Amino acid sequence: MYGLAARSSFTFASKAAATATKRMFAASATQGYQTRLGQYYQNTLRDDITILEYIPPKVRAEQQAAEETRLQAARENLTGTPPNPTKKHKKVRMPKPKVPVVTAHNAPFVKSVTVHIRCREALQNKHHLLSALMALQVITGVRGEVIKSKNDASTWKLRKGMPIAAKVELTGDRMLEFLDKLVEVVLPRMKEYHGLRMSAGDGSGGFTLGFDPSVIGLFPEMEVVYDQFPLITGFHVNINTTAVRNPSGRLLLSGFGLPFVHARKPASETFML
Amino acid sequence: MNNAFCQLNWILIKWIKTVLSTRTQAALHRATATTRGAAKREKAASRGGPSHLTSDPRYESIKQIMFQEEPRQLPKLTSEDLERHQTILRAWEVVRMEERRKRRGEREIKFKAMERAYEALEDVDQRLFRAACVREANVVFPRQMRVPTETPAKKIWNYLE
Repeated sequence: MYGLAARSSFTFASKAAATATKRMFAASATQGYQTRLGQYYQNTLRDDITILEYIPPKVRAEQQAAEETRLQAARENLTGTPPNPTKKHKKVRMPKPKVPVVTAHNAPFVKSVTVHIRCREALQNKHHLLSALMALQVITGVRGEVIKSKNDASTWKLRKGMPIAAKVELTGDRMLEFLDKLVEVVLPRMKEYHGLRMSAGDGSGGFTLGFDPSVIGLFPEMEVVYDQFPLITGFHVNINTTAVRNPSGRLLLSGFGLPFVHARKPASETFML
Repeated sequence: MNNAFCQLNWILIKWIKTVLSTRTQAALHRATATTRGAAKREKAASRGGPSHLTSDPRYESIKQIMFQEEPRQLPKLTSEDLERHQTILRAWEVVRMEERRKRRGEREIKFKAMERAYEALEDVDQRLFRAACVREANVVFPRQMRVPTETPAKKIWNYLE
């Protein structure tokens, strides 16, 4: 794994040189621009994830059979009081998609990243949304989209249809460059960042990070224009991956540099005198 | 009476402006000009009106930056130019497709070799085969496995943390 990572940076330059001499139009780009994270995924991460997740078909069949018997036993050995036949059934959750067989071509990858700013100050003064929109544009390089509320909330004087938030959806190279900036520049500069928990994830390949207003000023582009913003807000980053379960999503994101740590109980709970 | 005086004043100022040099005119404009909304804002502020009219002046510059310029127009191409453009795009797409196919082939070969290795191990030693099939619950890449860069920092790891 470590060896693969080191080798990739050396082979890249020599491969480009070899193909350049063979091509007819030597002036044309041989490799073209590829983001750092994209290159790393293609050269190293993708194969590593495939190897780490592969299970031989015989063993996989055994595991699935064991899982089925466990579920069957759980369904049959019901505990607690029997359900009331007169009461209506609760909404049944949609069953999660089955984990597909690991092949050479279906390693998980990041699908899209959404940066979202909820601006409650926009309820009093609509202009504050401009701060959010401009901040999103400065950070991501993409023009943001204003989000209007879908529901009423009288406690916060919110009516349906009021503009309340702004978001940007990133895909492709821009998404990888934003992730790169986040992991290499912003997260290390944060005062107290301990990483994502090992329990992170929404169960179907989505991960969310939330940040305080102090963090938005740590982006290199924001440092220059920080004073031009009347309102500095926090933001959420939602990372959507093609992973089907949390562990494979965590494996992918850890490869890109996001730190995952086991949640620790606070000292007061672990040791009682 | 007051109104007439104001109007006379205004005419006088306009005449004076025409006599001044352009540099002085510009300086005078910079010193005295107000944005269109300023008068409205002053009025609203004095009356205690809605706060969106008395907002930060920086929002004016943000609005200018974000909404002032017309979006860029695509260049108008002749039919030959369009053909050249589409040929170039198609050629680049073909290059990318070939790279993808090559990478896909490499992945297939590696994967099949791994499958054959597992099968060989199963034939040789069952215990080792079972050990190889064990998967940790929450496996993640170690933090030391950094994304490679051509310009690494002098101090890569802060061991005090």
